[in-house]
Amino acid sequence: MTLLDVRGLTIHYDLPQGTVRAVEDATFTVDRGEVVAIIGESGSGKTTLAMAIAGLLRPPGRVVRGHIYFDGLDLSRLDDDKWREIRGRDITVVFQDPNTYLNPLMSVGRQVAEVFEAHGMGSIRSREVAERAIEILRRVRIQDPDKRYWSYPHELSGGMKQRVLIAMAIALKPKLLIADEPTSALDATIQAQILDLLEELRREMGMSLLLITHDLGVAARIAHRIIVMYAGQMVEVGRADEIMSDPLHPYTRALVRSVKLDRKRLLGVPSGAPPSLISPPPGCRFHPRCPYATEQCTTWRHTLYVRDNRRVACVLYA
Amino acid sequence: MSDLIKRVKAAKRERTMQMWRTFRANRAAYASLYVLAAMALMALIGAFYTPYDPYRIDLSAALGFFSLAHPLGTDWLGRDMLSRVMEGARYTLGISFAAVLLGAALGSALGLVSGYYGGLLDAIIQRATDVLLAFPTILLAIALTSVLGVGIVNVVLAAGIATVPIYIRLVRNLTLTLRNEPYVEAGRAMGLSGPYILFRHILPNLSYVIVVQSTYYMGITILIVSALGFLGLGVPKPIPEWGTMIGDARDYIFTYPHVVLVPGVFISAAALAFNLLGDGLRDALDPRMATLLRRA
Amino acid sequence: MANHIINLFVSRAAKYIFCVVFLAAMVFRFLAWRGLQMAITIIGVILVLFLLVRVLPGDPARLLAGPEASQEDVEELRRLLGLDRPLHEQFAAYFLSVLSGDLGTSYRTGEPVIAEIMRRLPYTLALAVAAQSLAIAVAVPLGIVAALRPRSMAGYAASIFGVLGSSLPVFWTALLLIWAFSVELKVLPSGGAGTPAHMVLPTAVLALFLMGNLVRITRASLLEVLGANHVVTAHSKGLPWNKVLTRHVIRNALVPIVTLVGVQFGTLLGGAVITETVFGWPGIGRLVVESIFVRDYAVLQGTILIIALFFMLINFLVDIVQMFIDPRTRNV
Repeated sequence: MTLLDVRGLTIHYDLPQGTVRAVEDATFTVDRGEVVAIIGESGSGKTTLAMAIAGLLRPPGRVVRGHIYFDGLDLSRLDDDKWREIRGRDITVVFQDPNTYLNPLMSVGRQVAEVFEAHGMGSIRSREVAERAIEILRRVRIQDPDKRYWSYPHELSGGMKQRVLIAMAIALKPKLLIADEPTSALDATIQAQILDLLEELRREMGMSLLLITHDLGVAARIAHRIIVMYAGQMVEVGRADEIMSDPLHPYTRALVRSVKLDRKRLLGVPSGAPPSLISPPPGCRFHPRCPYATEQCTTWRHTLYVRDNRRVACVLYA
Repeated sequence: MSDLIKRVKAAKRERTMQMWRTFRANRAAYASLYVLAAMALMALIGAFYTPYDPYRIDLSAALGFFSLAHPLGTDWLGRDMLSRVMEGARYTLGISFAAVLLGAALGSALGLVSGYYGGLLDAIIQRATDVLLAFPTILLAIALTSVLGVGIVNVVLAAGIATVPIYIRLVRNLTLTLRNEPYVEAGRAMGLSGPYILFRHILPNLSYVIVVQSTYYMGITILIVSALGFLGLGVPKPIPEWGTMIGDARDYIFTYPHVVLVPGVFISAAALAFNLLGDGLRDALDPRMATLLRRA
Repeated sequence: MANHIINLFVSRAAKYIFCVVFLAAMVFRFLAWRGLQMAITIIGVILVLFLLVRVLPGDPARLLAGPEASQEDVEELRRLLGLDRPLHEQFAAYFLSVLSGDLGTSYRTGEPVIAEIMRRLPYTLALAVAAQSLAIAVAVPLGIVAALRPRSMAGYAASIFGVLGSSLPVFWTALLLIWAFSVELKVLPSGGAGTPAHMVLPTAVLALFLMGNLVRITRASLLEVLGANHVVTAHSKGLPWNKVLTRHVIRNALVPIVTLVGVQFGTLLGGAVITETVFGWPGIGRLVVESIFVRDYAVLQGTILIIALFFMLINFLVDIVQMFIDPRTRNV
């Protein structure tokens, strides 16, 4: 059963230096209870995509084309008031850097309590709301939640702060939780704990999880399906186990190989930054770094070819 | 390898061009560059040529309004205002520039040393800074001139020293953050000497902050220098430093206001131009836009 | 578990009392630490002022006695003042007399310096409060609107005020306003004190000057907070815009604004030297300038000391206010 249906979504940033084509023609679905991971390097447009789905895209970013259907609703046609009802209740976000995504001047408990207030369940000063917030803090395994309620962000560790952000995101049992690099700012041991917590909460609450990450290892750990993005375009979509055992796209292959050998850098691919999204290379955007590139790749138009139950955007599979 | 060097050089050039484009996009800042160039030119010409002798008294022409012979009128002693403004430009602008240079150099040096070495030296410099910061800047300048007496060098010293504590604080705080940067720690681990690290790794990284800050401080210092002149604590008497011109003429506000108002236009324009230039430089040197581009 | 919650909410009053006591304890610890720091600074300030008079041109005894006094009188005065003793003894004596509230005697009037200062203080205070209030009332709302709507009238007004306020020399705007309102329109007095009308022009001049920085800081601070990540979080909760603005934007943006207002007000309490001089306003700032010209160094020394103390006191109060706004500053 489809919860989220993204069709042909194209997002640009209009900057004085030119138009940044951050996301182009993104098309995918997320089923209820499903975990979908979007993989890509920084600059691949994955965060922009997530922000657009959560209705948090800020100027100069704008949706140029495409639709986002959520639970039967066309999100791109919602007005601000309706969006506000959905944000925080049906669609929530866990951001990547717990240090900057919490207000440093407000106690963490109140910041959780605000979610209830925003959705008409009483003022953050009321006892019921505070009790609920404490309950949620306990739910994300924060010790002494009634004491921590009054702590300020700078008094908590990074892992704790991330738990607070998760608490806000699950407070109203959302249908879709978007986690944008939820672990990249944390230590390795804390990373595992946070991932396990997210997976456990997802199973308990039956929500869908859209995991945005640059780390294929993280994605492989909990995702059912994986979407690989490169330079603003989807290059491969498929079941997580299939992609891990048999990656098709040359970029995915490099990613998978480097994860299996536990290397930080991409293997078998010349190093270098992903291309500028203002003036991307013609044809396949990966061809300047691709070991299999041929003359054809410079004129090829981006297309996702269906192959078994996989989609892949490479001329090798045309 | 040489290809890499070429690419790095090209990237550097591209970044400089990018800064210049950002700066030019700020029209007010760009225009203020012309205003300041014109003022510098005026100060330069004023040193060699003025339409009239700025010190020659001609009571028959006293208190004349704007005319072809005297475009900015004459003062109560019949001295040509345009000539006096041209002559004074060198004093007001030159003194302010020297004072900012002094304040920035002394304050930055103390701030660097204080922040990098820490310890007793830092404690002493910081307590001294506390003491100087206990006085409002303008009052500190006034108190210093009252000690040093009237004179060009004394005004430079007073206005310069008054800004030293602010530079010390700024540079020290920046040095403290830069000191823990990986490349600085690597330098220390490699056994590079303290002064080498300070001048090669720390100073270049905070130099742009000092430049932007100093541009703003040019605006502030012009106001301080001319205020000292206005109070009669600036340069000695007949020199037409702009603030002194207003201070000497202030009673004519009731009868011949142009004598008072003309020099003020030049002070305001100079201070305004430096403030706008500061804004432009800050925006152009701000790397945040670049980060936005990369993250998009 | 329920116990915890009951403990927490059993009494709202107890909670608030606890909070107040807790904050008070932190304020006290902070006071002790800052108090020590301030004490060191004050000793330094007194030392600087003591040395200031020693290095001033001329013989202090001669200056104090006045130009008409005989050489014997000057020698007598020198002994009386202890100026013949070693420097460190002199400093100790000066230090102790300052601590006991004795700032010396004006040679011009023969009156205690502190009496003169107290007589002038209300004028300076009145002008400072009026100018600062006016500046805040205009500049802060203007800066906020300018940040939210940069292309509105307020946005342009903020740009103009922001740059003019900090570029126009105070003595010049003062003379300009005198020319406009006293000479041409003849509606306001050009100087002096006594009626409320006398306060209008000096207040306006100072407020314009203060507004320059205040508008800029308000706008810049608000823009910075508007772009901060925690504001995105607030939106992601579905919080209405007005609550995002008051709770997560304006409150956070207040931190640098409060600091600037503190510095500005401290400077004003130290006497708006130039404004007071132009308008003949009988405050502390004019006292500084007067005492320089008549070489009344005891008055100069005492006045500057009082100004520095005020300046430090205001900064200290700002730090305490900051502790209430920003929890990060509570751990010293």
